[in-house]
Amino acid sequence: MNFVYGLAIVEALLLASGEPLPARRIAEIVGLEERAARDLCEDLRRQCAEQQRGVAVVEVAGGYQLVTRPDLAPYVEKLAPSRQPAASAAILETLAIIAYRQPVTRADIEAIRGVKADHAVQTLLDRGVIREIGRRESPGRPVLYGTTRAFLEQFGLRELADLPPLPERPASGPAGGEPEG
Amino acid sequence: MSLQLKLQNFEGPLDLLLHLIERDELDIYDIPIAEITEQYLGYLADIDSVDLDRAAEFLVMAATLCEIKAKMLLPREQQPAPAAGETLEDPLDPRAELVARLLEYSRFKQASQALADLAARRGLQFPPQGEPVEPPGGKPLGDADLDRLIAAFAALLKRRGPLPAREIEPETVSVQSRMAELEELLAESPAGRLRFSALFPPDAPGALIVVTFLALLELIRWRKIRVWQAEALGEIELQARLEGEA
Repeated sequence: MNFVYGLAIVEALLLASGEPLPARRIAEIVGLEERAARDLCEDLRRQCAEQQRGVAVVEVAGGYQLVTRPDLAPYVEKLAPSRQPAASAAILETLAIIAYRQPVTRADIEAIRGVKADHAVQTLLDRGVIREIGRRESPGRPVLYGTTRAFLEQFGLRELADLPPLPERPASGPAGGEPEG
Repeated sequence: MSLQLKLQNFEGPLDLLLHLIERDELDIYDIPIAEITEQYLGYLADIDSVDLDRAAEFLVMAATLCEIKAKMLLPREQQPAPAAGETLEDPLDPRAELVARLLEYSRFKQASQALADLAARRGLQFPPQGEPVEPPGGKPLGDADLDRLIAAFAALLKRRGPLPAREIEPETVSVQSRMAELEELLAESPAGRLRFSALFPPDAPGALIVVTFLALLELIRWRKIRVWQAEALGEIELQARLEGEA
């Protein structure tokens, strides 16, 4: 199989999949080493960028995905309305706590936000961005929540380690200073 | 009078307090508690407009603020006043716990903004439209189609006919262990798919069939598997969900 043909196969697979396709899966289908499949994806990504194509290859949620070029969104949006309704502040704050502090219980979330979390947690469960990942061995055995692969996908992250660092505590007062982390 | 935001605009008491601190450019490590308590209470004027649960959350904070304010008036052991720029680490300061909560909350409030930015950026990337090729043709049945699953189960029992008379052996299979078995079965089958009928061989004992069906419902409830039907009245198929799949 020559290189150009390999790139074409990967492009076809990514187009047909729509969802992020793990390099391992591409390797299985094409009959390659995972490393080689990954290289092909990276080559395709580079080629799309160099040739200023309307599509781009991105790496999200542990896979490669073919997407429209972000700067062309104003045109694409006229064709298809955006996929997800924007989440409210309450939903996003709750999700942020789960993403950075997982596994967490509902009580952990409520302690940080100072308000009830039932509704926000349920909404996030319904959207599939969090899931129950176990129970804490403490009185009442409360449910522990964590983020899902769909979370990574919706926020365009390759993996959890790609989350932007949690902001530090703000510096003290007008003079500024070195607060304890 | 500057623009006064209403109570409904705040996510909760901590959000309101942070707003007051930022608006007046106060030092979060040295909050003038009397001043902020007064302002906070001012906002509670329109507490009628929020629901009871939220009202309770705001009121608890009001009580906390008043308590801190009272404690601040009491004499306490002399601590060196924190120099400008120094953190409020004095655990005896009545404000210490509140400050710690405010700081922690503000970190996640900022983080949630970062998440919103990520989502917005991701929203500019449109994946190919249309039916994904990966799952077999057909749409996944929604939760509402439990009826169809039950109908399939009923049809299966009917096809099976009455049980022949025989000695009854105690069954020891639990729903839990059957769930684990089903998951294994799905994992081993090609493309992680199984036909609904394959789970119910004609010679399976009645109890096993019931336990299998219950295990199936449990797995659906826990979003471990998805149920497919390629066409109306077609064979129902089961497929293991990838971790985190929506």
